[in-house]
Amino acid sequence: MGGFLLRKAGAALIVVFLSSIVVFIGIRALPGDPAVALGAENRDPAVMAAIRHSYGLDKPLPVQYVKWISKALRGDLGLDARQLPVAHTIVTRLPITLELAFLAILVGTAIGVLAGVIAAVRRGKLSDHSATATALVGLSVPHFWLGLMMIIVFAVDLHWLPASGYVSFRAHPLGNLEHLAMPAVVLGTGLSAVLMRQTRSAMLNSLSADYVRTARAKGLAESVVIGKHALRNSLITVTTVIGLQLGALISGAVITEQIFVIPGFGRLTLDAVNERDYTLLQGVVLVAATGYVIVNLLVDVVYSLLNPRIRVSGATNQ
Amino acid sequence: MINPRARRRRLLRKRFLRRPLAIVGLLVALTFVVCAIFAPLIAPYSASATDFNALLAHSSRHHPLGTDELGRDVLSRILWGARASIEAGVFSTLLAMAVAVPIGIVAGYYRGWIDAVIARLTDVLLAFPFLIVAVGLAAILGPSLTNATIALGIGAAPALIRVARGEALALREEDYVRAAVANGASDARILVRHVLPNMLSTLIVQTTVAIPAAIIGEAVLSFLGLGVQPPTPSWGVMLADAQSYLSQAPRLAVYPGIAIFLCSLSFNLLGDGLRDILDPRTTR
Amino acid sequence: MSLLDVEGLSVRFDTDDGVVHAVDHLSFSLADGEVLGVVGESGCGKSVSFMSLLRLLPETATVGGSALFDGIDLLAASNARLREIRGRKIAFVFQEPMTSLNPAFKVGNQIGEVLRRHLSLSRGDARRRTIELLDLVRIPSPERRVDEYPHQLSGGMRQRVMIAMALACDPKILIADEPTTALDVTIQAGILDLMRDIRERLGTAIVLITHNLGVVADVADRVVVMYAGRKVEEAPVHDLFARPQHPYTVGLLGAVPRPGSGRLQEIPGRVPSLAELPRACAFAPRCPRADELSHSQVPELREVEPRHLVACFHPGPDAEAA
Repeated sequence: MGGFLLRKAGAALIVVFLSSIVVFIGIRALPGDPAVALGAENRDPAVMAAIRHSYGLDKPLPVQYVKWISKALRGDLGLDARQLPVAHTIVTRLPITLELAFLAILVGTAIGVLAGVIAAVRRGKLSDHSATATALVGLSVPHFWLGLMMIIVFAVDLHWLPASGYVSFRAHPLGNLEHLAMPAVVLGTGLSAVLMRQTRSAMLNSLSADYVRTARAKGLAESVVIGKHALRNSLITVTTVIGLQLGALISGAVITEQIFVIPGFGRLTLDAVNERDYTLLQGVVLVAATGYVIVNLLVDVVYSLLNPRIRVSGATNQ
Repeated sequence: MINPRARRRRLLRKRFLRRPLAIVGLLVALTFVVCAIFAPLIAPYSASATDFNALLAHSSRHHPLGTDELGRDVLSRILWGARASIEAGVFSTLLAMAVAVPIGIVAGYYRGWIDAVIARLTDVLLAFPFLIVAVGLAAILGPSLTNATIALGIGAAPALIRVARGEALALREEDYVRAAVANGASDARILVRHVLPNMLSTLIVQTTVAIPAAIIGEAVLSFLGLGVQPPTPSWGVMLADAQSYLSQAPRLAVYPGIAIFLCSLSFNLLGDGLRDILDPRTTR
Repeated sequence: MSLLDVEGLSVRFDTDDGVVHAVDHLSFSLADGEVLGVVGESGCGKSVSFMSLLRLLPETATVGGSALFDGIDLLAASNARLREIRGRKIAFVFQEPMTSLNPAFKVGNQIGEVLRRHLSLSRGDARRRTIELLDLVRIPSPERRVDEYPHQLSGGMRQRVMIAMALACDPKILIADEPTTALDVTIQAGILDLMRDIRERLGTAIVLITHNLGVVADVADRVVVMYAGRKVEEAPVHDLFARPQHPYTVGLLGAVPRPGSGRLQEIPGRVPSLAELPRACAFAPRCPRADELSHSQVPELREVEPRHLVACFHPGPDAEAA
């Protein structure tokens, strides 16, 4: 297992490094003169030159990149358009999105895997058809619209949940969950739909496997046969799917935070793009890409723990 | 003499006809496409025709789905909005395919250093969530439908490269490919005559899966103001506008959302059906 | 008093192409401590018959007849009852050792599962007993193997693990379905040795299902020969080999490679499709002795010598008409 993880970690590092280059170049490619955005509304050439010099914008690109990346490694992502430290802003807003994402994954996995198992075990019966249909609907629904619909029903009509806003968990745990309930469900819907289909498919494969027949022949209870033997082998697929869906989750968080007015990391990205705040955008995208790579690495760890072939003999057939 | 290809097509058609859901998907999807193409002829009103005497009106004979905050006919805007969605959905996917398939095939078939480079680059691109890429590109290129389409296409390409690469990788080990190589066939010939046709079913399925994602993507971009610019109608723009009137006229949010949902659902049903009938393990 | 008494066992499958009669009125009994060999070509219904006893067949199967074991009719027992018997009183060893063990769990865990389920052993006791079992089936270094995963073991060892798992609760009957087919010839001998050993040391009754007569000659006390879902011959092993009566058995014996026997005789033709069984002798189309009678009636089982039954209108040890 060590060899497998080391290789994956190495690849991850390369990807992060390359991503940082892409981010850097990408931001530089954005239209508009950064100097203007950084405060030289009067376009006085002398002022612009001074701003450029103070931000190092007059140096050659590779130099700028090295300067930026070395600062970034030390945790300094520069100042945004409002002269606030980017790193600090990110650090305050990231946990909010992480909490949202965590809740969404929780909801999505619980519903998706459960529905998938039931559908597989009761293949062809009503519960299978309804679960499969629901999953298809969940896949086709634009989840930001789902968010709007939920706001209409639960906030405007029934007044059960707040329509927007955020309260921190430490300040007000119940309020925190109330505010994140709808966003988490909205975000988790897509994940649960995909998971339901993949789990069902993986379970159908497991259930027809020889080792399940052996488990039955041993006289084990049906719940053990399904819950222990069949499910365990499907979990490997489930983990892979969650890893693949993480990107969609981040994308979803951006819009969900927009609709429910949650001051999270996703919203920060959107604000940065809309306000053409390049320093902020640079930092945000770099963190997003790095975070994504790290989480994928974690998924690989979990996968190797679940799959004995990798865990024990260290060999992979990737 | 029955041509084997014709026989297979007949078999696929038979299987398709046994799947009512897929047929429904196809018909509804076609309906949306027709609406998109013929919107100017079908829509009772133009998309920007305002009527200040009938703001936020409920359904009536003149306006079957009511009017919005500027008195524009909702039904017409939905029909016109289909254009943006279908155009973005279909063309961005075609763009993604056109870019991704050749790159993926080259990577998977030739392997070696070119594969390593392409695989790494694809990983890097995939490290950026689809939306962030699309948003970034839309920001660079400027908001418009065309640019949104391009952004969506480029955003969808990395994942498709992976799929095409995987297929090419598997197919190059097939016996008939090896036989062709042993017989001295040129690379181009092998790729075109042997590899590509056998990937076709996977690619078709991927296309029908990518289109709904692109349709929703266009809606998202328009919703965020990065796609179609008002007054051009798009379902996403309609939803964005509806946000301010959620308590007064929730139906303004319901109709465009249902349109997106049905359009996406129909392509998904079609895609599911196609995947099912093209699967070699299917018996019916 | 027989341990297992099967009467008129029939298994039918409802498939898309119609009804398939996999097993047609099979009757036999198994005595305590006896080794019964069940021989026949692939598809003749031998595996299906025994899987039906433990209700291990898919839902498309309909089972008829009776199977008395320990005073209970297995075919009519409740699911809960059957689960008590599976693994505890009657154990099954499947054909494919490569895929019959769960790749996600350690070998010790899978054997321990049976012990904890049926004998309520504690984890510590289960582990100890598991090591004993692995030793019993002659797996070297059992204390190490207990914590290994199936993919770390060779095919032969996996088969031994399957056998150990089956013997865990000291069952009355061990049903081994083609235990050696998926293994190399050199490993096969070891498994058969093991079977003999088990019978001697533990007194377990064994049903050995195989298409290989050589395997049966080695280990079995009695042999049942099946063809197209029916029993066509049954005899103590020596009698079967010395005086085979049914032309199919004769053909099978002729197909066993033996030094000095010259060219192998193969039986011409193929096993009939089980969907279209005629009301006649199923073997008739391939039989050198067939006549009008064979093509128009189903032969009944008759005793031709003590404990030697055959279902044939022209029984006899020679290849041609008796």
